[in-house]
Amino acid sequence: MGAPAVISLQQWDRRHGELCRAGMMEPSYGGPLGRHVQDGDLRLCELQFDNSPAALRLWNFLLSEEDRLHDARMAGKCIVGTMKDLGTVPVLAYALDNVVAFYPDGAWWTPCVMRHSDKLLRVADSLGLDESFCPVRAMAGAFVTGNHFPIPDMLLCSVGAVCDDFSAIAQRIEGLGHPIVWWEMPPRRSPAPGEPTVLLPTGFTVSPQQVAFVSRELRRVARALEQLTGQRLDATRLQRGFQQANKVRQTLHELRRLAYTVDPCPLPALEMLIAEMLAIHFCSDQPESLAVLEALLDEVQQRAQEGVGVLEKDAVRVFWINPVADLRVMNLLEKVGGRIAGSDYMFCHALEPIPQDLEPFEALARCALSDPMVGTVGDRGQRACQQAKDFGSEAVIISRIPGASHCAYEGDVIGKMIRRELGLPVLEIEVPPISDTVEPALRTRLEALMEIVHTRRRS
Amino acid sequence: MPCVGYNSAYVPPEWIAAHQLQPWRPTLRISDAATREGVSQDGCCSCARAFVAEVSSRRDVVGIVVAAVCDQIRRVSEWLIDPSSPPVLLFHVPATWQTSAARQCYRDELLRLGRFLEQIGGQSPTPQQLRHNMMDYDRERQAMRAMFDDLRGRPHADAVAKLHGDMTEDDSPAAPDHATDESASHTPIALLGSTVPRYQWWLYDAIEQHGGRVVLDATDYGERGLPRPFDAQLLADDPLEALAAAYLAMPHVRQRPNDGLFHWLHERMAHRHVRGLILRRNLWCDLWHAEVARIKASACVPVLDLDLDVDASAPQRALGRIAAFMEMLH
Repeated sequence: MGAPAVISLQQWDRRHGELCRAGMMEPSYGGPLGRHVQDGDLRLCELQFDNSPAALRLWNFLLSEEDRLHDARMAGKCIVGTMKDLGTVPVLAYALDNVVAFYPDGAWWTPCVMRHSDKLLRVADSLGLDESFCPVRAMAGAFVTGNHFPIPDMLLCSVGAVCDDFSAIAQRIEGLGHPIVWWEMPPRRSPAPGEPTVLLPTGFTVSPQQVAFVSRELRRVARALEQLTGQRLDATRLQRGFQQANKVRQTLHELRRLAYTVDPCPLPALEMLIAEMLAIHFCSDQPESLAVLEALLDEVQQRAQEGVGVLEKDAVRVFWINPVADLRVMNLLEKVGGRIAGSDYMFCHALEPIPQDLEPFEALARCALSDPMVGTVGDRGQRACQQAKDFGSEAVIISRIPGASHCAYEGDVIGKMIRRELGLPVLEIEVPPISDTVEPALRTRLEALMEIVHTRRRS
Repeated sequence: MPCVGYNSAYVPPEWIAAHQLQPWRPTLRISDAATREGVSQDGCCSCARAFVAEVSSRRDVVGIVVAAVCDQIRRVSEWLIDPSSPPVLLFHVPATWQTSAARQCYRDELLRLGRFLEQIGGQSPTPQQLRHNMMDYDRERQAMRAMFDDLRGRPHADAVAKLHGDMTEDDSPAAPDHATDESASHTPIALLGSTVPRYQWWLYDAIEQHGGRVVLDATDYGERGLPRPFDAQLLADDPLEALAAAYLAMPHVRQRPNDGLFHWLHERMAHRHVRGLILRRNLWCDLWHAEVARIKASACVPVLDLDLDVDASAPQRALGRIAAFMEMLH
């Protein structure tokens, strides 16, 4: 199969032909990556990809999601749009038969992937959702044009301790005639003195009263799903759903452990970002998402065993906070000599196994309350410190999302915490959906960070 | 009496008063709102910053209650947590308001607030004491509603401020060249939006100066921020439940769904014969900003969308736009 490397789209398409001739078997959604450019995914031409068949499968799986959703509609399956909670409600939905759940929120990457040819942000502008909002406003454009995902049979959205951008945009979508079942997520709070403490999967603590409340809200969500599908979400079904979700989470856990610790780095940052995303809604096909992750894990295990990777040895180990609106920036980090060693892409609660020794709704409520974004910035910063330490990170990058309500506050707090507790250099950047115009400045700042780490290594 | 600072109409002052503490909801006088070292003002709500600055400036504050009515204030509240500062309670107001779970959640938050008030020196009220306080506040609010026909704009805002414990004299600057012809007829205007901080009360003057009059103050400090009268039977049976029911029903842009705000607004606008709507919003406030197009589409009158920050050019720019809007209405 050749040595691990990062290659361009053109190189991939040539390689795809070679691999096919050599007998590579692909799933139904397989094919050369270049065909997605014909569908408008223009940014692919400017990205660098891992050259393994497992990565090809990952990309094809991601880029065929819209087709998969349309096929599901044609097949008469229920399509559920889950919004904002990033990892909780899909577990309920996939516990039912003939249901496909996805995040319309995912449209926030469409302007990047399609290099604005989708015009989603322009449509959002026309709705009064201008660039002062987070790029997730593209989701409103997708609902208006109907050109991307099929309009779901049901929309479920968490509110309360969520970004204002998201809540406001979701409300506009409802105002456009798409009814939403809203469910409440309170801001996570530590127990008061004397109050019992519940330890959450991500290590945060919370009061049992909040667990009970969220558990009741999730039951309400479950009832809505039951009414939609005519099926019962009983304990057996839920436990089976948890098992499936946990298989994905456990595979991802091992993949992260290897990809973020083994030297040389066995899998690029971009593929890892996408692999992590599979945990939140399984890219609309739960069994296949597991197969995709297992293939990636096999590849990474083999590379680790052979001591080969996609980057030079001793690349600067970076802990990355927040997802980037422009995927190309993950390539840029590696071009300047960095690699990912730990991440908080705002959905770390979807990476932790769902407890299976608890009453199902309580277990899921604990996972939902583990969301780093529903607690304090201090909590999130503490966890980032712990994770950066565990992964042996040498620097931290906090990537601001343009317009996002949380980004104006968190960078300073988390940055100070990391400098104080770990003594690591911190860089705060802002990444728009297409970062080409700011790339020279971004590159210079990233290079400066790498230089700081190299200087620290020498001293 | 020791004072408890709070930020939102969703924190019932009668609940604080019933605990023998003085409720104080600052009207935000500090325009050059403090910001944390190293934190850009870009993206930060000026009112959230002003609240932090003002509530930190008063020495007799023994506790601070921050109602998490938006993501901005929720996050800014962390700035207040400091060993040298008074204790802070982050008070959750459910965005989902139509379910029994939301009501129970709000009621539980009131109980948690009560325990917090006791920890900072308050005394737990008996149901009778609570009932008494609630009736007092209810009467004051009723009197205020009765005054709506006579008391407009700035005096009305000042009266509401006093109800929330801000007893200081109104010394905020007037609009430049402010002179109103009392004998002239005025164009009825509705003012909508979040908090109008006291340092921007010149807005009321500017509207009058150009021939308008705010007949419906639908901002957080205005009529929209007053809970409906308490249900008499519920007040007798379960005062805390009566409190929760009245406060959670207040319409707000943050509610999900927020149709209640639109119904409330349209009904009152029709009743007051409003001819123009001014939406005053803070720069970076997504919750109001996202609704601008919907407000414009649903209002039967012209709408002026006025985004204001604290930069020096804001008043002059706003005054020009108000003048043009009022001229168009004439």
